[in-house]
Amino acid sequence: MKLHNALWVPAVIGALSGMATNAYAVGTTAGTTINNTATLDFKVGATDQPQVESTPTIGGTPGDPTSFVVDVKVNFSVDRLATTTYTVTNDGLETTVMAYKITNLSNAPLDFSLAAIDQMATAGTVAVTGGDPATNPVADTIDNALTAVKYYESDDAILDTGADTEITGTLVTSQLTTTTLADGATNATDDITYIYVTATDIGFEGTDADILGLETTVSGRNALISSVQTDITTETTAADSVGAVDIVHADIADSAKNEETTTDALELTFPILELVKTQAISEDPINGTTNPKFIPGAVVTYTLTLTNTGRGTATNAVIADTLVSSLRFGDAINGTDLFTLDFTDDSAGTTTPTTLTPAADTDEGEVATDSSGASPIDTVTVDLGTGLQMEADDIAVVKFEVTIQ
Amino acid sequence: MKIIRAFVIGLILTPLAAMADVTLVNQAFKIVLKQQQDGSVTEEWQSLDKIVPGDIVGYRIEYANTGTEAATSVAINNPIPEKTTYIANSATGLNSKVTYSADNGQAFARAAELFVVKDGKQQLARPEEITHIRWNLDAIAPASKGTVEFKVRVN
Repeated sequence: MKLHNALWVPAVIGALSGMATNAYAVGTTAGTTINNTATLDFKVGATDQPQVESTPTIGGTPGDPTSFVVDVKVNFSVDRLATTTYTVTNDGLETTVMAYKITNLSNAPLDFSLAAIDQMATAGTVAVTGGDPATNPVADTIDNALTAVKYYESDDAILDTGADTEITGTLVTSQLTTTTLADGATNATDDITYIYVTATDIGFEGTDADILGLETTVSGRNALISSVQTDITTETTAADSVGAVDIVHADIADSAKNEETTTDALELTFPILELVKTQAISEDPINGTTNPKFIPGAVVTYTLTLTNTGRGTATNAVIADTLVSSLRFGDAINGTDLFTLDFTDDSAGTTTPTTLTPAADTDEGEVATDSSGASPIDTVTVDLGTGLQMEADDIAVVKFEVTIQ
Repeated sequence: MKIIRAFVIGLILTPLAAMADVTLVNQAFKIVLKQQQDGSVTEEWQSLDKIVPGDIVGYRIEYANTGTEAATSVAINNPIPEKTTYIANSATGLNSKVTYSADNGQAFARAAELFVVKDGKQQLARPEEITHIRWNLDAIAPASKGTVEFKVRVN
């Protein structure tokens, strides 16, 4: 039984170690020469004879090694960094629109060419690389919106536009160099670089949740083999030269073996502003506040409710209501002239009530009268300016009273 | 000139030819698995094609005795080339006894009896720990030849 076990184990270990070796994507550095020489000891009769060394070919020189040079195995992966879609607002700031990492799985240091991002002008849908199958592909609703696109290379998964290198001109990454592991046993060149694409001053118009498809292609460019930069864009298709380094594009599952394409969907966030106007009669000169009727001299309260149901922030929102000539601003019965603004900041959870004056002053409200026609016409205006920004789910409620003429 | 060369060659060959003139040719091949029409997979030894890490290289060592006397107590030794890993059970050779070393050729034993000491414990040597292969043959008869083989994976 013991013997059985002992015989069994090497076969199993062999199978397992074979699998493990496959998982090492990197391996012996390209350009390494692997030599092998066999020796033979023998006797004639009882006498030891001189050792015989192997020759690489019939008639070759004994002791010359049987040699080959390890070729370059070009292999790399490109992965999206984000697990969700990037969202951008139209705020004019520099914003990341795409980010991915390149992993060099080759057995040589490599640099990579990046294609400029394609904003997928003709695509109806965008299939996000590694995206959620439940929602992939998504509709591509907006095209060519990005301007001032920049490319950065970072050595970590955090973009720092001050410290990271901006890639300009021909888009080429740094060389992902060879790292020798601490145990020295295996050379690993699975170095990683992070590429960030940003856009600044995004001056586009759209609707909340518009999708801009983005695509980019990464391809291997040069390998450093025995201290020589070697173009690896073309695979060696001719027969192997045993003593020289050939180019092997190892990603055979891919039709473009020296290319990886990654696609992303950029989601645009805009505010969606809704304005609702309601009315209520407050008082009339005959019935007072008890069941008042819409008769001349009656006071009506208008309520204008502005809500941001989108995700972007609106600034400089101006609510204006030009009254018909049969309505004049103000309460003719008691002269209290209700004119208020209640601003609800949803993220802060606060509601700030403000009493406005109709005068053109520092508060948000103003009532202007156009007296050029037969009857004066009042325009009630509330300018939220930059101080009261309509962020998502913020609410501005304007109330004012008018008197029926 | 011609005479001198013939004389020199004669000098080298004569002592060996009288006994056992043994040569050893060591050739490397790329091993490719090919699926046949019936679905079975066979192994082909091809001339060295592009070799990248993970590929399997087979070494075929041909011995020949062109002499007139038998070579006896033959031992063919081959260290596992650097940057490669021996593939378990791949060393073969007709009429040969295959043993392995895991200590740079000092001690040899069958795979099932080859132990290494790791963390104070004796363990069977794993394929990647094998450093040398040895084929022992009783004899190579005059005018006969044969081959031994083994396979490695390029690290």
